[in-house]
Amino acid sequence: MLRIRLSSVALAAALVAAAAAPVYAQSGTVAATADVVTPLTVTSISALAFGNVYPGVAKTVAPADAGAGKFGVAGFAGAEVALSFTLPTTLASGANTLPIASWTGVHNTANSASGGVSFTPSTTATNANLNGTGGLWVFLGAQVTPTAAQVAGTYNSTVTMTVAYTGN
Amino acid sequence: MRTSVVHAWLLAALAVGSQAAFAPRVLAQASSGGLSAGAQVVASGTLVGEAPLTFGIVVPGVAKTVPPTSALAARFAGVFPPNSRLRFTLTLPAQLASGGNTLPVGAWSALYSDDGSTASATALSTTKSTIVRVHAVTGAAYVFIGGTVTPAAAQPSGIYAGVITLTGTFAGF
Repeated sequence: MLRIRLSSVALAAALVAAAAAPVYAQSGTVAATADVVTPLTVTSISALAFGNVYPGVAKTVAPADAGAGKFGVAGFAGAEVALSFTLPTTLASGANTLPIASWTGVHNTANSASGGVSFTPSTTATNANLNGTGGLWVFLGAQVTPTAAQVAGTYNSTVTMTVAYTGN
Repeated sequence: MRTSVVHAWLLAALAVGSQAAFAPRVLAQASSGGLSAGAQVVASGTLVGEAPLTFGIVVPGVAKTVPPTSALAARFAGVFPPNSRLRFTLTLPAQLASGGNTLPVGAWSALYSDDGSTASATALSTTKSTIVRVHAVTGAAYVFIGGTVTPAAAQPSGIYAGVITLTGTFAGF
């Protein structure tokens, strides 16, 4: 009786041990990835310079002109970015203002306005792609319209460009 | 049973982890930059030398000409009472200098226009005063000047410079 009981105990113990042991011993792998994105940077390369302007004589600077404003963008190679702008409507010299409008732009994956893509700068985003090394250049032009009674002086303002990845 | 439940949880965790590892990349970063826009408003009645006459590289013994229609020509600009008349007088150097060395310059030619374009410009005397009429509406006046340098075969190297002076005097309407 005792023997049977022991056997039963032993069998039960064996069964418990068997149940406790791993049914299988396998391993698998999954990839762990981290996509470190190159931070976007915007650099002001040159100012939009109209030079000498005469009362009553409008003056235009085109994106391909020597006086065009120029931004440089650096980021993730080939990524699509959205370009948007905060544009002044006047330049100021103390309390005097000089109207500025008719903004024009060219963006290019090469450091030249020639061969680039024309667009109209505004708060509405324009999409462009960074080149194979993550670069993009943006050239800006506009027109100032001094009145016949425009007061002489140095007039200035600031143009702001915001660049964001679109995710494409 | 406990073992089976544990393994089920492990498999579920692996599944979730796999989905997370293969989630699409999200680029959510923006940057801004600013540049200056500027203009220098020049008072009416002012004559300004806007561009120098640039001969660039000159070879000894080889004369070089820059015509007034060239982008390298000297350029003056100004704004005066609309439709007024101006008497222009040019003072031109006979030579450019580099220290003690001189480089002959001459064969001057000049053009006048009231719209900034040489295409519509008229000849302007370089030897005597000339009266011109400025733009009828804007009062603008532009003068373009070209010339010829004649370096000697033994011309010493160096940067040679001179001064061109344009004087504009109001001459009525």
